[in-house]
Amino acid sequence: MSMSVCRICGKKYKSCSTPNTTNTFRWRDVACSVECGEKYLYNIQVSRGLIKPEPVAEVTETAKVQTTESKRTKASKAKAQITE
Amino acid sequence: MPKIVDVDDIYITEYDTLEGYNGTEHLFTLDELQNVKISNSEDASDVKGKKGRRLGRLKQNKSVTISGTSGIISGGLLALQVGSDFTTSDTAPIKYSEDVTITGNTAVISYAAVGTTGNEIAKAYIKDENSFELELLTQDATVSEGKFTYTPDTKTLTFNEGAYADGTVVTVHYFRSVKGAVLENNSEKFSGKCTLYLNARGEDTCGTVHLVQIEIPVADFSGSFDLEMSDSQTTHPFEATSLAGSCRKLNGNYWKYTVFDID
Repeated sequence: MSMSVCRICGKKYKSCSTPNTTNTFRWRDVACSVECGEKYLYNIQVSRGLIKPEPVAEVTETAKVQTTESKRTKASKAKAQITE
Repeated sequence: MPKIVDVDDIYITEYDTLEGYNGTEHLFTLDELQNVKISNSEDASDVKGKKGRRLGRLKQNKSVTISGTSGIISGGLLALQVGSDFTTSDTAPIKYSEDVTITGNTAVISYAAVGTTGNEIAKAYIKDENSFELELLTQDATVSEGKFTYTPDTKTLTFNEGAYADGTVVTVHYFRSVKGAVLENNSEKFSGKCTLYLNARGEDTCGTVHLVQIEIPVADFSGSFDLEMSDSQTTHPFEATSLAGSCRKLNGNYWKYTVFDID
């Protein structure tokens, strides 16, 4: 095992020292976790034009408040049912 | 009437070939033999009587080994020695190193690199004119300081804008696919056996040329051998032990020596 630097989060991690001689994606060669590996592969595919970048959803302040409120409402309703 | 060969005394003038077979399957022919030795041995202990006088000899542990050196590397012999077979592949990976020159922030490598997507090249080494390593770069999705990208379709490395002058040498080490025959020395597979035929030429005391064939019915090859690569020629040494086996067809023979005329 050799130490590498994750190309997504920059964290040091133990990478596999055996070579990969196929064009399959082996996340441990480039990233510290599956999640970072997925992000790196996505970035590579976008940079090579293999996939289109996903549009980043704009989260407005109103939407954030609504989401929080709805969660609170659901939680209080559930609490009320348990009490009853 | 067939001529009977008189071969009381014969001296070998030339080793022609050493051929190996697995049944009827031809495994190899060594036709550039530098030397071959058939070593025969047996243990004998005295049977003693009164005052230690020798009454006879008890003989046992008869054995035969054949060893030699081929002037060229034999694939078939190598396969037998490591206990595996050659496979042909259109995509055999080999490690390849090359120096490429940066022009306009890019450099093109000679072959398509294979490896984990986005890590086909992995590292690039920027060097000065004396081949002294100045900087280590890592492959990534986008270029930035210390990062470069690789585009498989065009085999192009792209570097950070303006970071390196045209003519800067960069060294890369990568795997590329080739069409080739591949033999693997697997730790769980061991050297094999085959039937050997040593073909030689000899002359009798009258100068008449005869052919000699020595058959070793079961030669058990050793997996211990050196492929030495130095400033001298690389040769292919081998060693095998002849087995008498318990098969009736072998008749308990270690080898069979046949002398015959060319005609």
